Amino acid sequence: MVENAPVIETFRISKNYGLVEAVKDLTVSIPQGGTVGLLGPNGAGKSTTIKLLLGLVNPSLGEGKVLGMDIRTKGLEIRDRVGYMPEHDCFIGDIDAVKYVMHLGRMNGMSVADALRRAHEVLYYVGLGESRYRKIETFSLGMKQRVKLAQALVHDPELLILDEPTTGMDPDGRIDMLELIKDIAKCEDKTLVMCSHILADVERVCDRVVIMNRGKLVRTGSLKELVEGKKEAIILRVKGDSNLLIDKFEREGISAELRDDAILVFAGNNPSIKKKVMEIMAEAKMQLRYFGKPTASLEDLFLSTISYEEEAEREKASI
Amino acid sequence: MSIESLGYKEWEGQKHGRFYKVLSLVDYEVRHAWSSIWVKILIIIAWLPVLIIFLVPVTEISEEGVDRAFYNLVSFTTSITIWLPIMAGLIGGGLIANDKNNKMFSMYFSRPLRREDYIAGKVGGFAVLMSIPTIVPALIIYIVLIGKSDLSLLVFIKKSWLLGAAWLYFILLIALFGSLVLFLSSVVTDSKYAVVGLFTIVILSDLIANLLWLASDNEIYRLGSLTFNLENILAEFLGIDQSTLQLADQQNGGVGGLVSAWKSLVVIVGITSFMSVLTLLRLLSLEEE
Ligand SMILES: Nc1ncnc2c1ncn2[C@@H]1O[C@H](COP(=O)(O)OP(=O)(O)OP(=O)(O)O)[C@@H](O)[C@H]1O
Ligand SMILES: [Mg+2]
Repeated sequence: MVENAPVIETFRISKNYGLVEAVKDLTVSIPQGGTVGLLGPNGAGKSTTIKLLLGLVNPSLGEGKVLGMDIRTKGLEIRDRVGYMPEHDCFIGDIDAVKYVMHLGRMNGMSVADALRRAHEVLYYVGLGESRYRKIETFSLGMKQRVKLAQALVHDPELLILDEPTTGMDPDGRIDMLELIKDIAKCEDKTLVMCSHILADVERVCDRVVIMNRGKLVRTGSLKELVEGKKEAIILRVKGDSNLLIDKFEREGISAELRDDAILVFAGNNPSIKKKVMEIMAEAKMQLRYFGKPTASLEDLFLSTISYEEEAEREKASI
Repeated sequence: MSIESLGYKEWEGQKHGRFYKVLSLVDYEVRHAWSSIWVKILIIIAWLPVLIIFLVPVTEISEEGVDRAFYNLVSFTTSITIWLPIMAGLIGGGLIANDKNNKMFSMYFSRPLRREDYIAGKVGGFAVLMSIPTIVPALIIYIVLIGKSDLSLLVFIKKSWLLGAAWLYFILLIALFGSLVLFLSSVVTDSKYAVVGLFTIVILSDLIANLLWLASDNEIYRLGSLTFNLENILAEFLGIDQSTLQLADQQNGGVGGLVSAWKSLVVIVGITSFMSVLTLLRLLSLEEE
């Protein structure tokens, strides 16, 4: 593969289920290596996005590529090189973990001997070495999550997609699972996508995030950039037309955007930006109501973007 | 053992194509079904005639008694009609329903496994399991008969059409019950309902067809009964009258009387084809979740 070619690339894909727009106009590009958090509240369209990427459902609109292959036509080839851990339980309860993982390995085309050896290996790796001969129906929730991870790893995929890998796990189990994910991410040629609505999990393991809400992309970028960028930002509330002010900022080369009823000005590392902002405001004869720094956790970023989205939706609905 | 000490190991190896995956699925389904005690019991029952033929002395058979000797084989094949639906329900009822219940579709289809290959694997598993109590023992009985009797091989070659006919009859039965039970399995939420459904279809079709026949005195309504059609085919093509468990009186045209066995064959093949298409369409359109 070409160095740094994106592993996942979508261009304005949408997926409708009847009247429900599960994914809307999603454009993302995810480079090779590292862990990406796909973040969003319930019903945001995360799972649907994954199904689109795996070629399990066809997009209603738009184009996409995974590992350089078209998601509309190359589903089988994509799934050959991707490991997928579904969000819900999917087990054959009356067989043991080794048989289960081995069976699924064979469904990837692995020989009996390879699948068996690899099943033992991955079950040990996820911490189920002792229980690998137990029937899956006797497993605890946390153990079941581990089996699901094991089956996703059995064929050693290049891209690993994990849908809510920590649901139902106790705090210790969660940390274990996240550490496993971090450990897998150490393999340089592997890319991990982790779906979650638990911000702490994403903050712990991901180096990039894609935030979705109501099927739409809200933000994307490196975690550091997003959080740091926000740390360096300034929040303004003014009396008058905020959009007009944003236009003026942008004309001066200052990036800014509307958030709720406030303006978010991205300052970067430029200390003189505050002065410039003040100058522009004075010029525009805008009255300042609030001037300050936003708090800077991912949660805050998440909540602010989501609530902004919701506000916009409500406004649209009321028109 | 701690996780860190082990570390993630990469794997490199050859991956096989679709044919291998279908065979793997067949292999898995056969082993999985075999782990059920009920399946084992039914298969052992089906093999009882094989044991009996080993024990019964057949060396005494004269040339005239050859039909009687084959009757052993053939009466075994006819007894299949009765419990084959039980077996089909037990094996086939859960084939798809369980995967649907366990949400295994997302495990299978998130892999490089085509739906057609999944279906082929399930059908293959069913066919292999169903042939263990039917096609295989029929062959063994036939071979044992040759080995144990003093009759010349020529007689057996001349009579080998019986074995062929029995096999064709089994294939017809397996296809019919397979298509019915797989369809039921793909629509129900619990494998038990598929078994119940299969029996309801077999019994209801017989009941309604017979009532219509009696009420109207028109033989044609008998074609609505699955069991009648099967018996009719058996009588015509194998020369066995199952209701009396005797060799059928060919002059009377089997059990069907006025209803030709060919019509019964058309009905059975028609139902099988229709149900197969329905099952295929159903499976191809099922959601992953
Ligand atoms: N097969 C389907 N048929 C109809 N609607 C669907 C289907 N799958 C998803 N949806 C709808 O699409 C929207 C997005 O669902 P999706 O499962 O992708 O969300 P999610 O982000 O994964 O949510 P969660 O955090 O609850 O898992 C929801 O409104 C859901 O009801
Ligand atoms: Mg989801």
